[in-house]
Amino acid sequence: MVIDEMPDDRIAEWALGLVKADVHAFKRARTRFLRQPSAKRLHDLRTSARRLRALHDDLREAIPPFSLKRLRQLIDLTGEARDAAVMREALRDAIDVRERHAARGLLRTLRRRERIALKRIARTLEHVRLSPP
Amino acid sequence: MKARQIDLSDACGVDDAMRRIAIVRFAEVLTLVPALRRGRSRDLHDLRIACKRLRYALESFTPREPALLEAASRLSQLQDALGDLHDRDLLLLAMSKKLHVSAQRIRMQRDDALARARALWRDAFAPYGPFEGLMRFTGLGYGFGDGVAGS
Repeated sequence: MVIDEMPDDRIAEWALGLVKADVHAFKRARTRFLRQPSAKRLHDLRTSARRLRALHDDLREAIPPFSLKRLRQLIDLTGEARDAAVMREALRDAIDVRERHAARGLLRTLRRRERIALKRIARTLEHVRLSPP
Repeated sequence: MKARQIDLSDACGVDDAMRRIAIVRFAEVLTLVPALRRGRSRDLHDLRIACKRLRYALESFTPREPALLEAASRLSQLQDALGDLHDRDLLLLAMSKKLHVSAQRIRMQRDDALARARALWRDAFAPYGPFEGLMRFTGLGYGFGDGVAGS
């Protein structure tokens, strides 16, 4: 008896549809970010990349394999940029007036970290090749 | 925490595949939810990631299963509260001792975020609450509303 271990065609078709939609959303977010980077566009880029990775993890068995190496790299980099920006904002909001001077160094470090990550994101984006499986 | 692989090899149709995915991802969240009581950063971070995975899956399913929409929305709120908490944890790690007054403020914000996450979790399991549809869809989560999140 031959046991078919592949999910049925309806599942494969549905899964592929979801992945294609997420790849499309990612590409749109990438184009927008590269055209004019902003905090909102970085957030959209990061979210679309993470959504695609999560979908890949959920549907791995139902879709043809495709590489996520660059996408994972991009998710890490967008995380670095986002964390640095959010931490800077939170620190600025919470800083006690008596500690303003002492906080300058950390604020500068966070700004530098964000800038470096943003540059690396732009470079990495050039190498992310996602064709729908 | 690494996402568990989901076996779809013998799933019978799309609805069954969706249910299998939702069960695995919801189970991951339920396993990690004691973190809300303990309040430890690493565990809360894992819980946040698990909430995100479940939320993304549910959002993909809502066109076919609109009853999951409320759970997805609640998970998004929970993820926001846990995200605020995580941001404060990272910031506290980066701050020197010279910034102790500001650090105290940030610790208070962290505690507020944890209280918010606990309340969101508890309330999600109320009768006809945000998780009702998810619990019915997966058959999981009954009895999880009380006492798990603590205060």
